[in-house]
Amino acid sequence: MASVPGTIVLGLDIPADRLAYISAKCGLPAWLPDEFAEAWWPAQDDVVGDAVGRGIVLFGEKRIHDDRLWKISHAAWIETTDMSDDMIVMLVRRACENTVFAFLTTTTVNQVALASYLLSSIDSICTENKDIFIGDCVEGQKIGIPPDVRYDIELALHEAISNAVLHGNLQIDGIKGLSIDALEYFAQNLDARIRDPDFALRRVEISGVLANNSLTIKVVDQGKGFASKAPTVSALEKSASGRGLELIRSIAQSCELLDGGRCIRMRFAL
Amino acid sequence: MDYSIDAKDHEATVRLSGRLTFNDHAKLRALIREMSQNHARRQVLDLSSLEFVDSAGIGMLLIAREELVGQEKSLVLRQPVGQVKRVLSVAQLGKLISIEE
Repeated sequence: MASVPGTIVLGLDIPADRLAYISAKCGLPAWLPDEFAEAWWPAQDDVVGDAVGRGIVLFGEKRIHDDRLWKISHAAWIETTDMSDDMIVMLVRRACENTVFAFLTTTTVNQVALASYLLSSIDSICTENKDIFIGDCVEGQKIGIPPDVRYDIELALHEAISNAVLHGNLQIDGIKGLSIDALEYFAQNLDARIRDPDFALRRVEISGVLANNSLTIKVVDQGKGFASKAPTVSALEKSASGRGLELIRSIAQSCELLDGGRCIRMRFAL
Repeated sequence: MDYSIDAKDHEATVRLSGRLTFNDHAKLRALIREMSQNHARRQVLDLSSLEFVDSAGIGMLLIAREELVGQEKSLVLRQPVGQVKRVLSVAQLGKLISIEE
Protein backbone atom coordinates (compact mmCIF):
# COMPACT_ATOMS: atom_id res chain seq x y z
CA MET A 1 0.00 0.00 0.00
CA ALA A 2 1.37 3.45 -0.92
CA SER A 3 1.61 6.25 1.65
CA VAL A 4 -1.38 8.54 2.03
CA PRO A 5 -0.55 11.71 0.02
CA GLY A 6 0.77 14.40 2.31
CA THR A 7 2.29 11.98 4.85
CA ILE A 8 5.15 13.53 6.83
CA VAL A 9 7.48 12.27 9.56
CA LEU A 10 7.41 14.42 12.69
CA GLY A 11 10.52 14.18 14.82
CA LEU A 12 10.31 14.87 18.55
CA ASP A 13 13.32 14.06 20.74
CA ILE A 14 15.33 12.91 17.75
CA PRO A 15 18.41 14.70 16.36
CA ALA A 16 17.94 16.47 13.00
CA ASP A 17 20.54 14.29 11.24
CA ARG A 18 18.81 11.06 12.36
CA LEU A 19 15.46 12.44 11.24
CA ALA A 20 16.96 13.44 7.86
CA TYR A 21 18.33 9.88 7.39
CA ILE A 22 14.97 8.29 8.23
CA SER A 23 13.11 10.78 6.03
CA ALA A 24 15.40 10.04 3.04
CA LYS A 25 15.21 6.27 3.53
CA CYS A 26 11.40 6.37 3.66
CA GLY A 27 10.98 8.97 0.92
CA LEU A 28 8.81 11.15 3.16
CA PRO A 29 9.21 14.84 4.11
CA ALA A 30 10.39 15.51 7.67
CA TRP A 31 9.10 18.09 10.13
CA LEU A 32 10.70 19.15 13.43
CA PRO A 33 7.92 20.76 15.50
CA ASP A 34 8.54 23.88 17.55
CA GLU A 35 8.88 22.76 21.18
CA PHE A 36 6.76 25.68 22.41
CA ALA A 37 4.12 25.79 19.68
CA GLU A 38 0.47 25.33 20.65
CA ALA A 39 0.19 22.37 18.30
CA TRP A 40 2.96 20.20 16.88
CA TRP A 41 1.68 20.52 13.35
CA PRO A 42 3.15 22.47 10.42
CA ALA A 43 1.34 25.47 8.98
CA GLN A 44 0.54 24.99 5.28
CA ASP A 45 3.12 27.66 4.36
CA ASP A 46 5.85 25.54 5.97
CA VAL A 47 5.26 22.57 3.70
CA VAL A 48 6.30 22.08 0.11
CA GLY A 49 4.17 19.87 -2.16
CA ASP A 50 1.02 18.01 -1.05
CA ALA A 51 -1.16 19.39 1.72
CA VAL A 52 -0.22 17.65 4.96
CA GLY A 53 -2.65 14.80 5.54
CA ARG A 54 -1.00 12.51 8.05
CA GLY A 55 1.80 12.65 10.61
CA ILE A 56 3.99 9.71 11.59
CA VAL A 57 5.33 10.85 14.95
CA LEU A 58 8.68 9.71 16.35
CA PHE A 59 8.93 10.55 20.05
CA GLY A 60 10.61 9.68 23.35
CA GLU A 61 9.06 8.64 26.67
CA LYS A 62 9.28 12.13 28.24
CA ARG A 63 6.47 13.34 25.91
CA ILE A 64 3.77 10.89 26.83
CA HIS A 65 1.82 13.18 29.18
CA ASP A 66 1.76 16.06 26.69
CA ASP A 67 -1.69 16.29 25.08
CA ARG A 68 -0.22 17.80 21.94
CA LEU A 69 1.39 14.46 21.13
CA TRP A 70 -1.92 12.62 21.07
CA LYS A 71 -3.81 15.34 19.20
CA ILE A 72 -1.65 15.32 16.08
CA SER A 73 -3.95 14.89 13.10
CA HIS A 74 -4.26 11.34 11.68
CA ALA A 75 -1.19 10.31 13.63
CA ALA A 76 0.82 7.13 13.70
CA TRP A 77 2.88 6.99 16.92
CA ILE A 78 6.31 5.36 17.17
CA GLU A 79 8.14 5.54 20.50
CA THR A 80 11.81 5.41 19.58
CA THR A 81 13.38 4.69 22.99
CA ASP A 82 16.50 2.48 22.52
CA MET A 83 15.74 1.88 18.84
CA SER A 84 18.13 1.78 15.88
CA ASP A 85 17.62 3.99 12.81
CA ASP A 86 16.95 0.97 10.61
CA MET A 87 14.30 -0.31 13.04
CA ILE A 88 12.62 3.11 12.95
CA VAL A 89 12.72 3.10 9.12
CA MET A 90 11.05 -0.33 9.10
CA LEU A 91 8.33 0.88 11.48
CA VAL A 92 7.68 4.08 9.51
CA ARG A 93 7.20 1.95 6.39
CA ARG A 94 4.83 -0.32 8.32
CA ALA A 95 2.91 2.75 9.53
CA CYS A 96 2.52 3.82 5.88
CA GLU A 97 0.89 0.48 5.10
CA ASN A 98 -1.81 1.02 7.73
CA THR A 99 -4.54 3.58 8.33
CA VAL A 100 -3.81 3.59 12.07
CA PHE A 101 -0.55 2.57 13.70
CA ALA A 102 1.17 2.72 17.09
CA PHE A 103 4.34 1.06 18.37
CA LEU A 104 4.86 1.90 22.04
CA THR A 105 6.51 0.59 25.19
CA THR A 106 4.38 -1.20 27.75
CA THR A 107 5.17 1.60 30.23
CA THR A 108 3.63 4.17 27.91
CA VAL A 109 0.60 2.10 26.94
CA ASN A 110 -0.05 1.54 30.65
CA GLN A 111 -0.25 5.29 31.28
CA VAL A 112 -2.31 6.71 28.42
CA ALA A 113 -5.86 6.23 27.11
CA LEU A 114 -4.50 4.81 23.85
CA ALA A 115 -7.73 3.26 22.55
CA SER A 116 -9.46 6.63 22.92
CA TYR A 117 -6.69 8.45 21.00
CA LEU A 118 -6.71 5.81 18.24
CA LEU A 119 -10.50 6.06 17.93
CA SER A 120 -10.27 9.86 17.66
CA SER A 121 -7.76 9.42 14.84
CA ILE A 122 -9.95 6.83 13.09
CA ASP A 123 -13.04 9.02 13.55
CA SER A 124 -11.35 12.05 12.00
CA ILE A 125 -10.22 9.93 9.04
CA CYS A 126 -13.80 8.66 8.54
CA THR A 127 -15.11 12.21 8.84
CA GLU A 128 -12.76 13.76 6.33
CA ASN A 129 -12.10 10.99 3.80
CA LYS A 130 -15.26 9.98 2.03
CA ASP A 131 -13.27 7.69 -0.26
CA ILE A 132 -12.35 5.55 2.77
CA PHE A 133 -15.65 5.73 4.60
CA ILE A 134 -18.59 5.08 2.27
CA GLY A 135 -21.45 5.95 4.59
CA ASP A 136 -24.75 7.69 3.93
CA CYS A 137 -23.14 10.95 2.97
CA VAL A 138 -24.91 14.22 2.31
CA GLU A 139 -22.79 16.65 0.28
CA GLY A 140 -21.00 19.12 2.54
CA GLN A 141 -21.99 17.29 5.72
CA LYS A 142 -19.32 15.74 7.91
CA ILE A 143 -19.81 12.12 8.85
CA GLY A 144 -17.99 9.98 11.34
CA ILE A 145 -18.41 6.77 13.28
CA PRO A 146 -21.86 6.63 15.00
CA PRO A 147 -21.46 7.00 18.83
CA ASP A 148 -22.68 3.47 19.68
CA VAL A 149 -20.26 1.92 17.18
CA ARG A 150 -17.44 4.06 18.52
CA TYR A 151 -18.21 2.97 22.13
CA ASP A 152 -18.02 -0.67 21.08
CA ILE A 153 -14.81 -0.39 19.05
CA GLU A 154 -13.08 1.67 21.74
CA LEU A 155 -14.00 -0.90 24.39
CA ALA A 156 -12.85 -3.87 22.27
CA LEU A 157 -9.61 -2.13 21.35
CA HIS A 158 -9.01 -1.09 24.97
CA GLU A 159 -9.60 -4.68 26.16
CA ALA A 160 -7.21 -6.08 23.52
CA ILE A 161 -4.56 -3.51 24.50
CA SER A 162 -5.07 -4.21 28.24
CA ASN A 163 -4.66 -7.95 27.60
CA ALA A 164 -1.46 -7.28 25.60
CA VAL A 165 -0.08 -5.19 28.49
CA LEU A 166 -1.16 -7.27 31.50
CA HIS A 167 -1.24 -10.89 30.34
CA GLY A 168 1.09 -10.49 27.33
CA ASN A 169 4.06 -8.26 28.05
CA LEU A 170 3.85 -8.06 31.87
CA GLN A 171 2.81 -11.74 32.20
CA ILE A 172 0.57 -11.21 35.21
CA ASP A 173 -2.70 -12.92 36.06
CA GLY A 174 -5.97 -11.05 36.40
CA ILE A 175 -7.76 -10.38 39.69
CA LYS A 176 -8.56 -13.82 41.11
CA GLY A 177 -11.69 -13.84 43.26
CA LEU A 178 -13.85 -10.99 44.50
CA SER A 179 -12.01 -9.62 47.51
CA ILE A 180 -9.95 -6.59 48.45
CA ASP A 181 -7.05 -8.99 49.09
CA ALA A 182 -7.25 -10.26 45.48
CA LEU A 183 -7.23 -6.66 44.23
CA GLU A 184 -4.22 -5.88 46.46
CA TYR A 185 -2.34 -8.94 45.15
CA PHE A 186 -3.03 -7.90 41.54
CA ALA A 187 -1.86 -4.33 42.28
CA GLN A 188 1.42 -5.58 43.81
CA ASN A 189 2.15 -7.80 40.81
CA LEU A 190 1.37 -4.99 38.36
CA ASP A 191 3.58 -2.56 40.27
CA ALA A 192 6.52 -5.01 40.41
CA ARG A 193 6.38 -5.88 36.71
CA ILE A 194 5.97 -2.30 35.48
CA ARG A 195 9.14 -1.39 37.44
CA ASP A 196 11.10 -4.19 35.75
CA PRO A 197 12.52 -2.99 32.41
CA ASP A 198 12.72 -6.57 31.10
CA PHE A 199 8.91 -6.51 31.03
CA ALA A 200 8.09 -2.80 30.87
CA LEU A 201 10.16 -2.05 27.76
CA ARG A 202 8.50 -4.76 25.70
CA ARG A 203 6.48 -3.19 22.91
CA VAL A 204 2.82 -3.24 21.95
CA GLU A 205 2.00 -2.76 18.26
CA ILE A 206 -1.43 -1.70 17.02
CA SER A 207 -2.08 -1.58 13.30
CA GLY A 208 -5.37 -1.13 11.47
CA VAL A 209 -6.80 -0.70 8.00
CA LEU A 210 -10.02 1.10 7.14
CA ALA A 211 -11.65 -0.09 3.93
CA ASN A 212 -15.15 -0.69 2.55
CA ASN A 213 -16.94 0.45 5.69
CA SER A 214 -15.00 -1.85 7.97
CA LEU A 215 -12.02 -1.61 10.28
CA THR A 216 -9.57 -4.49 10.69
CA ILE A 217 -7.21 -3.95 13.57
CA LYS A 218 -4.42 -6.05 15.09
CA VAL A 219 -2.88 -5.78 18.56
CA VAL A 220 0.45 -7.59 19.00
CA ASP A 221 2.50 -8.08 22.18
CA GLN A 222 5.93 -9.55 22.92
CA GLY A 223 4.92 -11.92 25.72
CA LYS A 224 4.76 -15.71 25.85
CA GLY A 225 1.28 -16.06 24.37
CA PHE A 226 -1.61 -17.93 25.93
CA ALA A 227 -4.27 -20.55 25.18
CA SER A 228 -7.75 -19.05 25.07
CA LYS A 229 -10.37 -20.79 27.19
CA ALA A 230 -13.85 -19.33 27.45
CA PRO A 231 -14.82 -18.85 31.14
CA THR A 232 -18.12 -20.28 32.36
CA VAL A 233 -20.91 -17.94 33.51
CA SER A 234 -20.63 -19.18 37.11
CA ALA A 235 -16.83 -18.64 37.06
CA LEU A 236 -17.35 -15.05 35.90
CA GLU A 237 -19.77 -14.38 38.76
CA LYS A 238 -17.02 -15.33 41.22
CA SER A 239 -14.17 -13.47 39.54
CA ALA A 240 -13.21 -9.86 38.89
CA SER A 241 -11.25 -10.82 35.74
CA GLY A 242 -11.72 -12.85 32.58
CA ARG A 243 -14.38 -10.77 30.81
CA GLY A 244 -12.20 -8.89 28.32
CA LEU A 245 -11.94 -11.44 25.54
CA GLU A 246 -15.63 -12.36 25.86
CA LEU A 247 -16.58 -8.68 25.53
CA ILE A 248 -14.44 -8.42 22.38
CA ARG A 249 -16.06 -11.54 20.93
CA SER A 250 -19.54 -10.19 21.62
CA ILE A 251 -18.74 -6.83 19.97
CA ALA A 252 -16.48 -7.56 16.98
CA GLN A 253 -17.73 -8.92 13.67
CA SER A 254 -14.83 -11.38 13.83
CA CYS A 255 -11.99 -12.00 16.28
CA GLU A 256 -9.00 -14.33 15.85
CA LEU A 257 -6.08 -15.14 18.14
CA LEU A 258 -2.86 -15.65 16.17
CA ASP A 259 0.80 -16.42 16.90
CA GLY A 260 0.02 -18.50 20.01
CA GLY A 261 -2.10 -15.71 21.52
CA ARG A 262 0.42 -12.87 21.03
CA CYS A 263 -1.72 -11.30 18.30
CA ILE A 264 -5.43 -10.57 18.21
CA ARG A 265 -7.05 -9.55 14.93
CA MET A 266 -10.47 -7.95 15.14
CA ARG A 267 -12.83 -6.77 12.44
CA PHE A 268 -15.62 -4.23 12.96
CA ALA A 269 -18.38 -2.99 10.67
CA LEU A 270 -18.59 0.84 10.67
CA MET B 1 -11.15 8.11 37.94
CA ASP B 2 -12.18 10.52 40.70
CA TYR B 3 -14.94 10.27 43.27
CA SER B 4 -16.76 12.25 45.95
CA ILE B 5 -18.95 10.84 48.73
CA ASP B 6 -22.11 12.32 50.24
CA ALA B 7 -22.98 10.09 53.21
CA LYS B 8 -26.38 10.44 54.94
CA ASP B 9 -27.88 8.24 57.68
CA HIS B 10 -29.43 5.62 55.45
CA GLU B 11 -27.88 6.22 52.06
CA ALA B 12 -24.41 7.20 50.84
CA THR B 13 -24.04 8.54 47.30
CA VAL B 14 -20.66 8.21 45.59
CA ARG B 15 -20.26 10.24 42.42
CA LEU B 16 -17.69 8.73 40.02
CA SER B 17 -16.14 10.74 37.19
CA GLY B 18 -13.55 10.17 34.46
CA ARG B 19 -12.43 6.71 33.30
CA LEU B 20 -12.57 3.56 35.44
CA THR B 21 -9.97 1.00 34.27
CA PHE B 22 -7.54 -1.53 35.79
CA ASN B 23 -5.14 1.30 36.63
CA ASP B 24 -7.60 2.68 39.18
CA HIS B 25 -7.12 -0.19 41.62
CA ALA B 26 -5.65 2.05 44.35
CA LYS B 27 -8.56 4.52 44.20
CA LEU B 28 -11.07 1.67 44.15
CA ARG B 29 -9.50 0.15 47.25
CA ALA B 30 -9.68 3.54 49.00
CA LEU B 31 -13.29 3.98 47.90
CA ILE B 32 -14.32 0.53 49.12
CA ARG B 33 -12.71 1.31 52.50
CA GLU B 34 -14.67 4.58 52.74
CA MET B 35 -17.93 2.88 51.80
CA SER B 36 -17.23 0.24 54.44
CA GLN B 37 -16.58 2.85 57.12
CA ASN B 38 -19.69 4.99 56.71
CA HIS B 39 -22.88 3.77 58.39
CA ALA B 40 -25.33 3.95 55.48
CA ARG B 41 -26.88 0.58 54.64
CA ARG B 42 -27.50 1.57 51.02
CA GLN B 43 -24.48 2.65 48.94
CA VAL B 44 -25.27 4.27 45.60
CA LEU B 45 -22.66 4.75 42.87
CA ASP B 46 -23.77 7.67 40.70
CA LEU B 47 -22.30 6.90 37.26
CA SER B 48 -23.78 9.87 35.38
CA SER B 49 -20.36 11.58 35.12
CA LEU B 50 -18.36 8.41 34.44
CA GLU B 51 -17.12 8.47 30.83
CA PHE B 52 -15.59 5.02 30.36
CA VAL B 53 -15.41 1.69 32.12
CA ASP B 54 -13.58 -1.48 31.06
CA SER B 55 -13.91 -5.14 32.06
CA ALA B 56 -11.48 -4.66 34.97
CA GLY B 57 -13.60 -1.71 36.15
CA ILE B 58 -16.64 -4.01 36.09
CA GLY B 59 -14.62 -6.56 38.07
CA MET B 60 -13.77 -3.94 40.68
CA LEU B 61 -17.46 -2.96 40.99
CA LEU B 62 -18.18 -6.63 41.72
CA ILE B 63 -15.49 -6.62 44.43
CA ALA B 64 -17.14 -3.55 45.96
CA ARG B 65 -20.52 -5.31 45.95
CA GLU B 66 -19.04 -8.45 47.54
CA GLU B 67 -17.29 -6.48 50.30
CA LEU B 68 -20.45 -4.48 51.07
CA VAL B 69 -22.76 -7.51 51.06
CA GLY B 70 -20.42 -9.04 53.65
CA GLN B 71 -21.24 -6.03 55.89
CA GLU B 72 -24.97 -6.30 55.21
CA LYS B 73 -24.93 -3.22 53.01
CA SER B 74 -26.32 -3.00 49.48
CA LEU B 75 -24.73 -1.54 46.35
CA VAL B 76 -26.74 0.18 43.62
CA LEU B 77 -25.45 1.63 40.32
CA ARG B 78 -27.33 4.75 39.24
CA GLN B 79 -27.77 6.42 35.86
CA PRO B 80 -25.03 5.03 33.63
CA VAL B 81 -24.77 6.97 30.36
CA GLY B 82 -23.03 6.64 26.99
CA GLN B 83 -20.22 4.09 26.81
CA VAL B 84 -20.71 3.04 30.46
CA LYS B 85 -24.40 2.22 29.90
CA ARG B 86 -23.48 0.27 26.77
CA VAL B 87 -20.74 -1.80 28.52
CA LEU B 88 -22.89 -2.64 31.54
CA SER B 89 -25.52 -3.89 29.11
CA VAL B 90 -23.08 -5.94 26.97
CA ALA B 91 -21.53 -7.45 30.13
CA GLN B 92 -25.05 -8.12 31.54
CA LEU B 93 -24.00 -6.63 34.87
CA GLY B 94 -27.65 -5.94 35.71
CA LYS B 95 -27.94 -9.67 36.57
CA LEU B 96 -25.41 -9.21 39.38
CA ILE B 97 -25.82 -5.62 40.61
CA SER B 98 -28.97 -3.51 40.78
CA ILE B 99 -28.90 -0.69 38.18
CA GLU B 100 -31.23 2.34 38.43
CA GLU B 101 -31.74 4.37 35.25
